[in-house]
Amino acid sequence: MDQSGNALLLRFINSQHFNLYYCISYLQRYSDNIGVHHYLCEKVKTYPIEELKFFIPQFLQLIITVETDSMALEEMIKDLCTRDVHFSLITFWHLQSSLQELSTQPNSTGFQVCKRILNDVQFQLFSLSPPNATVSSRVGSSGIVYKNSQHAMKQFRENVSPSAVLISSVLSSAAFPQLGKSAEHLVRTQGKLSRSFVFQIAKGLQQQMNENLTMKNTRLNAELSSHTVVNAAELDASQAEKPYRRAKSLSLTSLQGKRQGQQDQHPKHNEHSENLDFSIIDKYAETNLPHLNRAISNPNMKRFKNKRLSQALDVKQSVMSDLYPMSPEKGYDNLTLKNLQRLRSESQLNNDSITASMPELHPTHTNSTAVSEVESLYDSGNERSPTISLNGSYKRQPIKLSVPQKIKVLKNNYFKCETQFVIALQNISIKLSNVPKETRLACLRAELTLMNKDLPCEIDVPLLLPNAKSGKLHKIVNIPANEAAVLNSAERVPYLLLIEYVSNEVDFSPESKENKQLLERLNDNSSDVNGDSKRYVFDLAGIMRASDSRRTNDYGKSMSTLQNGEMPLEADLADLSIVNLSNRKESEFLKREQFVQAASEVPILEGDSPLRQDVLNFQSHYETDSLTDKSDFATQMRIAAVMLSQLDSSTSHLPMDQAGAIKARIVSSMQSLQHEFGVKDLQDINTEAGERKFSNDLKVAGVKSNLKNKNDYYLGEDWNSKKERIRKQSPYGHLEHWNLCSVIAKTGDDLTQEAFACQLIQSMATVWHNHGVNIWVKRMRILVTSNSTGLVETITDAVSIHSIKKSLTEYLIENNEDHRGAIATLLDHFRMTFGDPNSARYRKAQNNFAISLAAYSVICYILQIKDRHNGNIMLDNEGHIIHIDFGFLLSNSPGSVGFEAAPFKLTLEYVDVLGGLDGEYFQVFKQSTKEAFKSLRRNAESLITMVELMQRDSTLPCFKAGENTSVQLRQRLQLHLSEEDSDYFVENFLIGKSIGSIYTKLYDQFQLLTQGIYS
Amino acid sequence: MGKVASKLSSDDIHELRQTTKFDRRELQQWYKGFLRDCPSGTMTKDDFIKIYKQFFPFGDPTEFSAYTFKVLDTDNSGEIDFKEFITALSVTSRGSMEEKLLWSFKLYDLNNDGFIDHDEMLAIVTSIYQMIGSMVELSEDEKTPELRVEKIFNLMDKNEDGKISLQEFQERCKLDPSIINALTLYDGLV
Repeated sequence: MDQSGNALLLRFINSQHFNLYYCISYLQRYSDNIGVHHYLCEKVKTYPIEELKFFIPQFLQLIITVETDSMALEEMIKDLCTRDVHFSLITFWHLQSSLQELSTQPNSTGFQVCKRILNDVQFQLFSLSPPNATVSSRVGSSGIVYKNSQHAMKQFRENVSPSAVLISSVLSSAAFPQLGKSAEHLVRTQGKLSRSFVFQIAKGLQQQMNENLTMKNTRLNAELSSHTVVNAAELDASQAEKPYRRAKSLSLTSLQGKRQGQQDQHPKHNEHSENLDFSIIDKYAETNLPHLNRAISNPNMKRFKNKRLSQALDVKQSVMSDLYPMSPEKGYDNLTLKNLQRLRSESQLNNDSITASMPELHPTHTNSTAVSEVESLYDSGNERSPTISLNGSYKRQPIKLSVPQKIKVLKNNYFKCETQFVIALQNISIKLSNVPKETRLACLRAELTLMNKDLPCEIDVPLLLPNAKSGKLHKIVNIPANEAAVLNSAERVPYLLLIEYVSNEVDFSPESKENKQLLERLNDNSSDVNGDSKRYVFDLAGIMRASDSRRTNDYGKSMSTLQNGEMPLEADLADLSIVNLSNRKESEFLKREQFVQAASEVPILEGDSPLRQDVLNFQSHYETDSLTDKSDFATQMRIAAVMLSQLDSSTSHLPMDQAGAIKARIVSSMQSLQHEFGVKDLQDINTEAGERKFSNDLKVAGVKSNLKNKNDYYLGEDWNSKKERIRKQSPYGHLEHWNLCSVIAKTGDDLTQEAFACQLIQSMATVWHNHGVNIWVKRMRILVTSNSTGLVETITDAVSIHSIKKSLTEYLIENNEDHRGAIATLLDHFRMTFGDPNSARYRKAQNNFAISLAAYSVICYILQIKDRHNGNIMLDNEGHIIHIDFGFLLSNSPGSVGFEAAPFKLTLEYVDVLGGLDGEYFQVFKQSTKEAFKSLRRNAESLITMVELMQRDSTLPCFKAGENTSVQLRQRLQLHLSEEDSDYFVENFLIGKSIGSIYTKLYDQFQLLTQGIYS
Repeated sequence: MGKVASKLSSDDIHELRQTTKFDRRELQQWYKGFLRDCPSGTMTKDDFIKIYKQFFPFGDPTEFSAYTFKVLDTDNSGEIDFKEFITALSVTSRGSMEEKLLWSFKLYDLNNDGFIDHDEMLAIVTSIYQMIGSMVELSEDEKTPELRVEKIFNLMDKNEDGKISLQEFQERCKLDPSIINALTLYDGLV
């Protein structure tokens, strides 16, 4: 290692040219040099946390894919997590997602590292114990801090290198005391290195395993993902607090008396992997178990089900082997149900644990004996709970919390509510996908109404809401159910929701009035042993309570009669959980009881004859009961939804027409109920993609029409009008800092690639901004909450070009205005919207169009963004063009390669809007494109670095070309060209080839013909 | 001690429990860790220097690590074995102030004559300055090794005879809070 070279490096790091892109690139390059690595990480910490949040995916990718003995990055992440709650939440969700992705390779370093950090972050997030690990490293020299806590035992492991430096640093104290200080952080950090449990398998082998992954497996993983880690959180929180994990898991072994055969092997396995390795297996088994139901009950999975499932345990094992292809059977064979239950109940004791899949626990067991067995176990676990409970200590001395502890409690509450909020949103999406399309809107509104019961709450949406300037967090106060909309999608059920929030409301100062009250409330709850329901917000509380489970049991029985006893696992049972609401008042409880009864009567069960009658019975039940509260309707909706999905899954047992009749009745009753939520008419469901897109557009956003008669050429409601309208209706609208945010919740798709594309675009926009290039790019934010869920910021005040054309064409036809029998053009739209072509307004819009088109042209070319039909290109109310939907970029493209061969989309229509090839704004466009391209070339490395890093071991489709992805990116940047040649290249190759490209036209026509997307 | 025995013998453990402040379990774990990092069972001077280069990448730690190596290599075999290593670790992380100062003294008393003279101290301080490079901000009065040495002698050379005896060293170091701080920095960590 060249030390003088490093001196230069040091100078560069401290120079003003250094930035976070370099930092990330160097963290990769110098991963084998512990000292440099540490120095870089310290450097990272000097940047503002808001900037660092942007790079969380990169930091985590570095940790997972770049092997190093340096602990610096890991420590840095943890440190930043303690600094900023959003940073830790985003990190938490990202890790969750990565862990799921890596779970097919549990022996890989990446998985091990990811798991370790996730454990630590979870501990930080959800544990109530004082944050000794992080605080102490700062308290430092007092030394004594460590001795008292078990955690301290882990602070320094048997590592020779840091020990050697420690020795000499102490010895040289007299000569140079400062040496201790400067080396201390490094020594402490490296002392934590633990290598003994990391075993790696050869790369080739991993690749193979990847390939072996069947669709089925992938599917399962996706289904499981949303909850898995939440459970992990709950377990880890409990485990982390147990000083002797090993002892604990051993005692678990002794509990499982049933499978003697494999049992002997268990301790061996355990010893080998020491503490966490076993628990992670438990974790998976546990989380997989409940969720399998859902996966399996899906119609697509029927084959799978018949072949492989006779009872839950078998499934669990099959999934386990899918998840752990390399693990020997012995690892999980001995996991009996009881074991799972124990783990669950123990983890349940912790106040800080969160319980997402809890509600689905019971339905897993289809025969009621299993349920009751589990039940009794559960209860016994509960009874003993207070003795081990962490809450215990808080209970005894509720008032004596220190200030840091209070802050910790407050933060904990925030994390808990926040994660539960996100899970609740995911669950809604899953529930929606289980009911017929025409009832989804009603269901969605019902669910949101129920959610509103827990609002206002100390939550926000990290990343998507604007940054709070005062250092305080926003607070969500309401989610207007009437404004929510189910978006049409081919397979998934994304939905739009508007979130009312009050800005700068929440902080973690224990002295504020609100927080004092909150602390008291939290304290009350934790001292109330039976207060489970209060511990969960957003209806995630479950079935834990005896009364609830009894009802479930009844329901379970009636179900099994329905299915003539041979019922395999069905979705209905899993979904049943939604019937169990967290109980609040006795009266409500009773009312609900009635509904549950009604619900359990519906399936009706014994014979075929009285079917209709019972359904009527159900309906009359609604009518006679005078329900005033919205949430009661909401409850009804839920039950109806459950019954519907039940019917769907049991059609094989009922005559088709009867099932159909029942279904029709339920649907019509749901639709009538829907009016209670203020819905006037139902959106027609049209299966054509174009129709879908159009109606989605209008739901999500709108552009203010310039016409006198609004109904003539309607493109949705513009954002400000919408906001004002909602503000007037909102009970919180009078609050000074009230605000509104529009978000789309997605479940079922991995948003990682989409988020990465937005990140790259944002990087480019930053380059242009910093170098004064006159160009416009829309900032888009995506919050990834797991590898199959996320929240997407809605683009307001804009609609897709497809919708514009469709709407305008229809308008022109209706009004016979200048009707040429052709599809309306973009120019038509500009004239309609921005008026006289010579007006300042029109010219401003033209200019906006030119500079945004230049930006997105360069972006589309550099990133090779494909699938550019008009449904994926939007126009806002100022004339800016915005590209969305980045399913295809870098090295993947839709279908055959032939389509979209032009560098970017530049249709003659665009040229027309710009005033023709000689027009003023076409020149603006050309010039901006050239400037943007040149500027990007000068800062090419930051972009290439990002792609190089993220393509490592990535399974994202956009990295199909592997290592070549970044090579091709570099080629596209034409770095060998001089600036002059670069201008020539842009003008003649990029723009020249793109103008009116036959390929672009073909693709648009293809989309028009096959998808109904207007060209 | 057998070079690559995977576990410490009970004799070794017995001996080390007398000479160090580690218990049986800790000794075995540290031995495991030592073998993982030094599979041959010993650490050479080059190994040692490599470690320091990792930790101090922006300077040249060669000389300083050689000096430290000498202190640790109590039998002058040219290699540090586990016993030598764990003994030094025990002293520096769990030892008393007296013990730490006694060991520190060995670092500076290069010729083993029982005194630290000006040149010896200068050599050590220079090597430290070389090692840290520009990593540590230095105050004006210790910008150079010479200035630092002068400061040290002002503090420690009580009788102003131009050299520091062990007694002076042990007494005087305790008067300087920053030195005490540095000496106890890692107490309780390991």
